[in-house]
Order: sequence, then C-alpha cells, then structure tokens
Amino acid sequence: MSDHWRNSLNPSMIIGSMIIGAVFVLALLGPALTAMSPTEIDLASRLLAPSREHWLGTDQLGRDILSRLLHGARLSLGVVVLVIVLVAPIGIVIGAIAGVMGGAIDALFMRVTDVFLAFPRLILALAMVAALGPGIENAVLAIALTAWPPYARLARAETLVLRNKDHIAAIRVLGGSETRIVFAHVLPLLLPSTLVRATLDMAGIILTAAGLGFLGLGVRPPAPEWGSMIAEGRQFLLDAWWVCTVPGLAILIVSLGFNLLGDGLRDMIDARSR
Amino acid sequence: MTPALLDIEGLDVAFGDRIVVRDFSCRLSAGERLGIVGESGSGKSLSTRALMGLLPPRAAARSRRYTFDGATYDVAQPKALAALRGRGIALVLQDPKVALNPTMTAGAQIAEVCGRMRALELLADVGLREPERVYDQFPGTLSGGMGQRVMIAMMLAAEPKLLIADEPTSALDVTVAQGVLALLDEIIAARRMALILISHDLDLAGAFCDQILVMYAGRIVERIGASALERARHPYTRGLLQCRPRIEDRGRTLPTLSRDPAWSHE
Amino acid sequence: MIRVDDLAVSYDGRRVVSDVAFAVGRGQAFGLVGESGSGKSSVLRAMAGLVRDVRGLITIDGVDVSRLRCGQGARRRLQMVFQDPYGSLHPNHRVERVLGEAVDIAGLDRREERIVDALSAVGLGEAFMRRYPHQMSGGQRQRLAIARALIVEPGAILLDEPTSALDVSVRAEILNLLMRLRRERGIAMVMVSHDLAIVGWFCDQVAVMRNGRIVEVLTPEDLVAGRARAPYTAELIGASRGYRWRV
Repeated sequence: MSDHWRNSLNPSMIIGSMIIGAVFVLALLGPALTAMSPTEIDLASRLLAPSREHWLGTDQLGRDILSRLLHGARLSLGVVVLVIVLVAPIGIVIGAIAGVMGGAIDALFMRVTDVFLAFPRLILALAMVAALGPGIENAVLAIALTAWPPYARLARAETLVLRNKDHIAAIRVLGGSETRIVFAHVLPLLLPSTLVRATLDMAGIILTAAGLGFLGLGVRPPAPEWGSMIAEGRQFLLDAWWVCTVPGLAILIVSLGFNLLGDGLRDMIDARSR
Repeated sequence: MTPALLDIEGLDVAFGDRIVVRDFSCRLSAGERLGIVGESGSGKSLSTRALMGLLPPRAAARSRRYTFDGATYDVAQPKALAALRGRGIALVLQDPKVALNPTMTAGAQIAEVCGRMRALELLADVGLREPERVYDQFPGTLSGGMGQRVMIAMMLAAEPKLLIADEPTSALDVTVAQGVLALLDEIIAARRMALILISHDLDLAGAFCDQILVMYAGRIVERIGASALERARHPYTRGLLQCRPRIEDRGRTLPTLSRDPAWSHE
Repeated sequence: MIRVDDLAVSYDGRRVVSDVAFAVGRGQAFGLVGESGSGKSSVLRAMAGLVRDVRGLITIDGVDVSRLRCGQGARRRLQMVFQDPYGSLHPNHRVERVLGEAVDIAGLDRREERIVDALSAVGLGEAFMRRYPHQMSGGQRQRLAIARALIVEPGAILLDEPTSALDVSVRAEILNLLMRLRRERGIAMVMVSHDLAIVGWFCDQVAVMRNGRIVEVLTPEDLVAGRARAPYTAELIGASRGYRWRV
C-alpha cells in the first residue's frame, strides 16, 4: 500500500504541502519569535520601509508589519480551520443521508441546500454582520452558512453511485439499518473527495475572510487580520507600498498553497482509484 | 514454408523489476490463426500489446527479434511501432463501450480512417442491416453485438494484415457471440488476415484457431495444435481442460487445479 | 424450502419480470438461465428484497416473506452472494469486520466462534481475519462473500453469477464449495447464470428465461439429451455448445 502512495506523489502536492506546512509552522511559532508587538503604536516609526530592524517595514501607526503578519496568520488560519471543521462534517452527513434515503428526505434536504447555495457568500456575510454585529465568531458563522452546501451536494452525488454497490446491497440483505449503511459504509468512502474539496475550499475561505476584513466587518481593529491590513494600507499604496502589498502577497501565497495541495491530493486520489 | 508475417522471439515485458512476460516467442503467417489462452495475470494481453507499442507508461519491453511483414522493429521503441498500428496490426477489444469514443458517433469514428462512403460500406460488410442509422448512433446506445461489429468495421477500415482480438466475445451473450465469431471467421478468411485470438476460454480458442499457446505467470507453458488440445501434456493445460464444469459430470466434484510453483520457473 | 409464485417485478413502471413461479426444496438447487435482459437477475434481487416494485408470493420454510423488508425477520433466512467479488466487499473493512458485522446485525451470540467457523467452512484460515479485500484474490473474496451469507444461518442462498468474474481454474473451487455446503447444510440455492454448463452441473432444475418470463423448465438430463421443447431453449443450447463451424 505504501508503494502505491509514494508513486502518486506529484509536484503540486509536494509544493502545496511545503507552503502550507511552512505557513502553519509560522502561524504557530512565529509570534513567539518576533519580539515586536503587533499592536503597539509608535507614531515615530510610521511608514518605514523594509529594513534590517523591520523586515517588512511598518504601517501607518508604526506597527511592525512582519509581526502583524505572523499574528494575522493565526487569525486567518483559525477562521479557515473553524469553518471547515464546522462545515464539512455537517455537509457530508446531510448529503449522505439524502443520497441513501432518497425520496422525500432527499428532496427536502436538497431544497434546503439550494436555498443556501443561492446566496453569494459575501452578501450573506454582510447580512449576518448587520444582524449580529462584527466580530470573528460571526464572520466564521457567516462564511460557514454559505460554505456547507457544496459538501452536501458532493456527498449526495457520490452516495448515489455508492448506493448501488453490491456491498451496500449485501448489508441490506443481512438486515442492516440505513443508519449503519450511512455511517459505517458510505461516509468513510466519501472522505477522500471531501478532503480534496475542503483543501481547495480553504483558499476561497481565506479570500472571503479577507474580503470581510477589508470591508471592516468580521475581525475588528487593532487585530492584525490580513484583509483589514490591506484596507488600511490602501491609501498609502503609492508612497508606502509595503503596507498593503505584503498582506496581499501573504493571502496570495496561502491561497496558492491550498490550491496546489488540493490539486495534488485530487490527482493522487484519482491515481489510486484507477 | 510461407514466409512469416509476424516473427517475435524472446519478448520480455517488465514493470520496474517485476517481470510480467518472459520469453514470449511465436511465428505467424498470413491466414494462420493463433489462440493465446490464459487466466488473469498470465501476460496474454500484455505480450500482444507490446507488439503494437501499447504498453502502459511504466512498462518496458525488449526482445531478441521482432519482424513484421519483412521489416524489423524494436519493441523497446513503442513510438516507432505506431507505424504498424492500423495498417499492419489491428486490435479488437472486449468491451466496445469502453473501446469506442463515447463522444463521437460510430460512423464518424470509422470515417476518421477512411471517409464516409467507405465507412458506410464497412458497416454493411459487418452485417449491420441499417448502416446509415448505425452511422449516426453514439456508442453508448449500441447493443453489445452491434458495438462489437462497429469495432470490427473500424478495424477493417485500415485493412490490417494481422488482427489481434482480445476477448472479443467475453462480454457478449452466447447467441450474439456466435454471430460475431461467424463474422470474424468470414472476414479473416476472405482477406487472408492472420489472427491472434486472446481468450480465457480454451474451448473457444480450440474451435477457432489452428495453434494454441497456453500462458501461465508470463510464460508460454504449452504450444499445441488446436486439434491436439485434448492430448495436451502440460499439467496446467490438462488442469484447465479438466476443471471445466460439464453438465454430464453432475454430482461429481469438479477437478481443481493445484498450481505447481515449478510452472513459474520453466 | 423456497417458493415463488406469480412473481412480477417492475422498475420505474416498466415490467421486467412476469408470472415467475418455482419451488426449491432443502439442499436443492434451482437454476435461472438466460441472456442479458431476460430478467433472471431481477428475479433474484426481488427475492432478496432489494427491489421495491414486486408483486407475488415469496415464502421461505413456509413463512410468507413477500411483505417483509430486506433482511427483516424470516427474510434474513434468504441470503445472497453477488457476482463481483470486488464490489461486494467494502474496501476499507477487514475480514473480521465483514463477518463480525453480519453477526452483530443478526443479533447472534458467540461472535468470535461463529466467525472462525464461517471462515473454516469456506476454506479460509484464521490468518485471513486481519486482511483487507485488496489483499485477497478474487476466489478468496468470493469465499468471504459466501462466508458472510453463511454466518447468519440462512435457509437459502441466492447466487447471482457467483463465478462469472473469476478465473476459469478458480471457478471449479467455488462451485465445489457451494455444492458441498448445499449437501452438508441442506441449504436451498437459486443460481443465476448465463453459462448453461455451470447451471446444468450445479442445479437440479433449470429454468430458461427470456423477456422476463420463464420459457421452460428442464432437468440437466434434458439438457444433455437436447430434449428442449421451446425453440429458444434449443437455440441457447446450440449456442452454448461452442463455436461449431469454420469457413
């Protein structure tokens, strides 16, 4: 079995894993490594270009951008992980049940899915924030509400195929319950594609969280969320380009990393199933 | 002795260091029929794929000699073997639904090789009663027998000298298979094509072919004339002959094959 | 042991089986032979309870199970072995889980003992317990599928082309196994196949099906003697004898 896996490793997956691995490590350890505070205001040092003292320069309030970046990594990754952890299990259980039961339950679940799918992510997030107020928890909730439907659909589509497999029929003939079929037989087989989907989704979630931050919703200042850093740095784009470009690049690299990882995982799983 | 159309000697095929075909050799002349019989993993399909340069990417092949229709080829250079495909050697596979392009109509796929007029002629030649209608059908809507006939028509379009039929009737109903086999019989005889028939069915190979090669674990374990099949000597062949269930043997335990490891090392 | 009467099966409103009736005694085997589209597999699936739109009578050991859901109550005495040994086992479940699950669902006691017994009944040693399906050959997987059906102590086993996906030399082993189980345990069996020779060797009676109906029922002796009454049967027998002529 291990040979099989080794043969399917591909460049996308390797590069993607390296990037994401590095990001996670930096997010966990980084803040401990920088001595500088991400929130301490020092107006005397505002808008300094990258130098040996401030590797990535300072922003308009004199805060060191590198340390803001590292602290912000925790925020962004935290949002991503929270959303996925909420959304993927609920989504695939709904989809699997719909696929296995069929009939009225299937129709009901899929109509509910359709309703949520109809909302553009950012608009719903705005509505949520308007209703509940800004804050990271509400941002997570808002993103989660629009992120779950694709998992349900994916799970249902795969379940419809799996439903006809003989090993499911065999369990039925033995008298196994539908619950057993969903949880012990179908769900484990849905995990690979869900994993791929989740990894690819992470890039989108980062962007949505950054979008919320950019609009001033979600995370409140002075928290160093990357999206709000870009928003704040916009006005200095011509003179002190590093203030908003650096967090922008960070978002780009992390998204790219997740995309590559997801692509690589998908290729690997495809190869294995052939 | 008629000059050999196909002469392959000492063919080996390997995936990395796992050797899957060992020392495969055969000579075939125009009009001759060879049956290769074996179970899954015997190497029967891979050996013929090697002749056409159609091995999977991770496989490597080599041989001592390989000549076809007077020209010499190298199995280790699969790209060069592309010249052989179609005009020299053609392949008919087991499942037309998989072997035909599902996004093109049946007729269009044949016409790719020889143009629309000839495609319609060929569809009629293979016994399809409404060639124009079949021309416009997609492979997914064709029945097993019809799909197989379309594949044969496609193969004929290039007018090959050697046909390799890999389990051509295994996926077909018994009565439909009879029709397809009769068609193959007629076509091969009329055009004096050489045939290699690959099958797991010893009886079929015995009825259809002149010579039989029995393969086990990548090696040829027996080379025998079809008419002498019942007198085969190798224990594996005898085992295959004996373990076929016959209605007449009702009530008696079927003889089973006990695999002798020595067979992998002959 | 099994009785089927007036069986009719439909898929999405389309009738695929009509008027099927037969009976199989303890330890006996009944064969259903036909080409694709004949409805033979649908009969089996209907008997197992896997099809929704079924009308007619299905009884096992005298008990009417036609209204029971799959695997419920007496219907569990009717088990099934499928054609594809790769598809009928969950790829992530080990042998011991496959068999253990069957025992659990049936609510039987002495779990470990039954698992060991079932494995040895099909000729698989205890070493197989921790194996995954992809670590077993086609023949071994099919043996496991048979063990799974056996472990719940069925009165009858339905066999859907049990050897078609197996190598020729392995078929004999599986057929011998099934024959032995039939005799030793008195399990009734219904076998579907497109292969007349296999069905003729294994079964006591053979029904030829076409277009969803039974065309005729014969004994293997009838088959050997070529005593077919319906022309379709004769055609089938002729085609099964193998390729006859050379140009």
